[in-house]
Amino acid sequence: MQLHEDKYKDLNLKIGLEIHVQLKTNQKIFCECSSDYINSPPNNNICPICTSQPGSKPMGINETALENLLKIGLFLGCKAYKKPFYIQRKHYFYPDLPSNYQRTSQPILGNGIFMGVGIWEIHIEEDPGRYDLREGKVDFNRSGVPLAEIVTAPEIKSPEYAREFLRDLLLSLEYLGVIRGESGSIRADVNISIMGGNRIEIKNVNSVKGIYKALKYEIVRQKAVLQRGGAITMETRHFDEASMITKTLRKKETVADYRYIPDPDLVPVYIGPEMLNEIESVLPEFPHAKKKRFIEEYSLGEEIVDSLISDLYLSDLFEESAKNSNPLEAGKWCATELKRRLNEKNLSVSTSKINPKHISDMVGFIERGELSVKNAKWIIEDAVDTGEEIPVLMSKKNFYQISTEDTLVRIIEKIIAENPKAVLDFKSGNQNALHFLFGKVVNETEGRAEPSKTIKLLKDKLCAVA
Amino acid sequence: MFTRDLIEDLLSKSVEEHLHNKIEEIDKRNKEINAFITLSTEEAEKSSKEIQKKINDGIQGKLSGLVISIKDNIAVSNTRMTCGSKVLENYIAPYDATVINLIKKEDGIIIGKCNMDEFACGSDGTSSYFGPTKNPRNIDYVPGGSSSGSAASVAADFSDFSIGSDTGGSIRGPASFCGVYGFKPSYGLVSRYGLSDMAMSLEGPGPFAKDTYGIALLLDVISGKDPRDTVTVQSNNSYLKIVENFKDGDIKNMNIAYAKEFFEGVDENIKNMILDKIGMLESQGAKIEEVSLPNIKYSIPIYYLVVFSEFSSAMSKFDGFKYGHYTGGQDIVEAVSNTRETSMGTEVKRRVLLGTFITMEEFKGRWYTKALKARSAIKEDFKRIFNSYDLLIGPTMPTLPWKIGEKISDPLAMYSSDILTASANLAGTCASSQPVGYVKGLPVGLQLHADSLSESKLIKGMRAVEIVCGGM
Amino acid sequence: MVETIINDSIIERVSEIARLKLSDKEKEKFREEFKKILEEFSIIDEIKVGEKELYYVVENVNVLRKDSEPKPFSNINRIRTNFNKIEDDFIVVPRNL
Repeated sequence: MQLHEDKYKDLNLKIGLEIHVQLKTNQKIFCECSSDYINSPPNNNICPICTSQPGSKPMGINETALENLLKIGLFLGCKAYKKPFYIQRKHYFYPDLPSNYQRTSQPILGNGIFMGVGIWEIHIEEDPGRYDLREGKVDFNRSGVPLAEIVTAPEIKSPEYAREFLRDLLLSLEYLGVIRGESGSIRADVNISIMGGNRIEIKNVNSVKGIYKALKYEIVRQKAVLQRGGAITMETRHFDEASMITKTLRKKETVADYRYIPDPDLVPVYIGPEMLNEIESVLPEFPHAKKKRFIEEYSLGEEIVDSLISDLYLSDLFEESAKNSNPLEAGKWCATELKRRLNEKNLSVSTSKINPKHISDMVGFIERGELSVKNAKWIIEDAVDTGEEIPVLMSKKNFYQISTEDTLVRIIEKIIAENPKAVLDFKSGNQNALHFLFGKVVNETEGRAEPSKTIKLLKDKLCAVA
Repeated sequence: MFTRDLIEDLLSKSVEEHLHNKIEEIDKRNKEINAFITLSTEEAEKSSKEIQKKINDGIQGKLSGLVISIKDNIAVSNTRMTCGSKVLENYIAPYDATVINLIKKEDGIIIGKCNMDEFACGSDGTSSYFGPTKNPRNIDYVPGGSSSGSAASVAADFSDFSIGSDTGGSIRGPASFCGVYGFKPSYGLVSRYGLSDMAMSLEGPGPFAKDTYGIALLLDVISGKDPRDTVTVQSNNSYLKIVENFKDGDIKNMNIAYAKEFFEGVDENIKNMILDKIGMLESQGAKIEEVSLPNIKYSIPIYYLVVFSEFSSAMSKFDGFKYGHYTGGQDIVEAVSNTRETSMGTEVKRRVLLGTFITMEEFKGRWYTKALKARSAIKEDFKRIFNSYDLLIGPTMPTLPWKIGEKISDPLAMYSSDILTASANLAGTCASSQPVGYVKGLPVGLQLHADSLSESKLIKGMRAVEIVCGGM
Repeated sequence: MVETIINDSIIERVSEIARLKLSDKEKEKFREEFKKILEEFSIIDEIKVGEKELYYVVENVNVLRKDSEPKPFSNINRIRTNFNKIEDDFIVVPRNL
């Protein structure tokens, strides 16, 4: 991750995210409709409450939604505020908002941290419906699904870091079982400033990839503006998925007075210590605790640990594999090569075919010299894709290295015996003869001679020849 | 007691006949009085037959065939609900309000939806898109608002009861002007689910009836905690029992206060009549004392500032896309602006604009936030009074009903008629109005207040006044 | 005393935010009325107020709802018949290109 940041060193990038994730529940936040709206035909998963029929009132907040949000906050190291919070009405007219106000709470938790980025606050709100601007069509199936909004500090230093941050955050939230994992289940408003200039807000970007592309584009765009002698004024932009660029929103839409008022229909909510304790007791190990433990228990370096702990599935896989192999090696391979492969293929540990035995087997083969580091990278990729056992993959690809001394010595002696001229050439100072003989050994072993050991033994044997 | 006798009567007579008597009255006089926007006589007749069967089997509910009209801002499933406005002229409610569910469960017969000031923005019943309602006691005069049709339907005997809503006097005012009983329950006692309310923190449904018994009966039916309205509280009382168990001696134990501010600026005749009734209570043994509520004069500005802000929020939903009147336009901004402009009446617009203004970031602190801080002062006033007294007594309205059309041009004049009623809504306490006489042929109402969730004291007080004034 | 001058631009902005397309006559009339009404209402400045706003008159807090099996609404068709314009089950509204 550090490598990426060097590229942007002189830009003083400040990136902050306002991330929306759908909380995993049976019902919507204020009514009893299903929150599993994806498979429903349009406007079929609705009721008087989530379509804001005259006279309808919200029911009490979905308890599981609130619990899941608290889990997220506690997991991210946040503290719950001591005083009661209320739900506010945020007024703006838009076809996907049945009341033309959105119900969104005051901050519920705050002051956390994840992957070195501060979490300013987390609150709960209702999802609007869907308005297709191009078609002029509205569907309220999604209206009322509970959302958690996670607001980060502007401490993300590059688009690459943002992508990694989001990826790992989503994986952790999935691991906690608190969010809906379907596509379209993350949305973010992205804030970016370069070189201490004004903040640009890009609203409503619908995917991790989109957020990454929007940031890349914005950096290029802003640099160009500054180069031409212009200035960046604070504004709100929109990310166009089709063309992968950001566009300015019409000025009218950027001037918003939301006229927040506490929603009189929803009485305040107070998060008491009992509720928090109960939730904490069912949470898995927090990242900072895991980090400490990994460093102490496995003697892993900090960078490796950071890479492992932000993906809970990955850290579980690592720990499992470390039971049967050298933790330092297992940790290194999981944190670097495996993670890289998964990201490339847009997979996670749970959606790929990798399992702990792959790692522990592979580490074993490497340590015994039967698998070269170079080939190990191929093996990991195959394991991720096919799930086949390491020994099987190694046979298929003919990766077994010969590194046992006796075997190698026997072959070397055979080659020496068969190539007297080359031996003499070597003795008279011709280094190429060494390579020639080495090549012969490699051929004899069908490429499976472990290189460094072979060279060493070959040299030894040659020197021993009179 | 009239209502009790009526129920007994119905057990031996015919429910359908009772209903038909009402329908006859409606046919005779509703054209003139205009109490209804929608009549549901077919459904009513069907219900009456079903209820008759239940009565014959002895399993009827508490309302056993009594006829009820419903203010047209309360949802009755598959029935038109207009809120007195062009905005919802053709809107059919897809669900029943909680109070409607409860009424149906207890075998009340719903006869129709009552006329009202548009979106409850009015105090005299003349601002409905569907034309003004007339006062059944004298059709040249206003019936009061905003539950104008509800009060009129009971006064004209179109129904036995009605359910209206009270934001700042919208039940008590019309009850006073039409000479019937009206009750504003404590905030949270009756579920607002299904009530298209104008001001969510002030308003709630409440009953109209012809006597205390009827009020108590309806209260028993419609009050209680509802998961569909988070502000509701549990109701454990039987208010009917309180009426039934009332003894004359109970008047002696009553500790009643009257605020001198409640009589300031009030019509002399009304003042004298109320003071007279207070005197009668005193002669029956009640303890009467004068108190002061110095903040009453601020109740109108505080009330209306809160109303404006909540109303503009409540009205945001009307954009024409999902329901209601739609004008259309080039884009989503124009379509919505055109629609709202052409469907909302003047007072509605006025309140939406003012409410928007006072909740804008730069003006919010000056108006909205200040009004809400001031609201505590009103609540404290009442708390202080009810620490020492059971009830507050006084007139419901500062004037007699005025002629139709008289107060239409000046909004401030209209607002000021809520001076005696609005503070109960600000404090969330309960209050009632009952008829105690006539002046120049027009009804005068006496108002009682009790502390929040002290309905039993209020019902007792109403019964006491009823008896003392020669009620049954 | 109303500190804010309720001028045309304020009325314009308010009507825009509130989505009411007012005629010029209306704008003028409302401008006059608002001035009068708010002037009258500024007597609330006299009242001695505490620090806290009274948002809720009830004491209830923490009214939460158990997340049980979804309960589909029984009269969805009626909700849909009230839609202004419907096509393939979607509500049709102006586009926003």
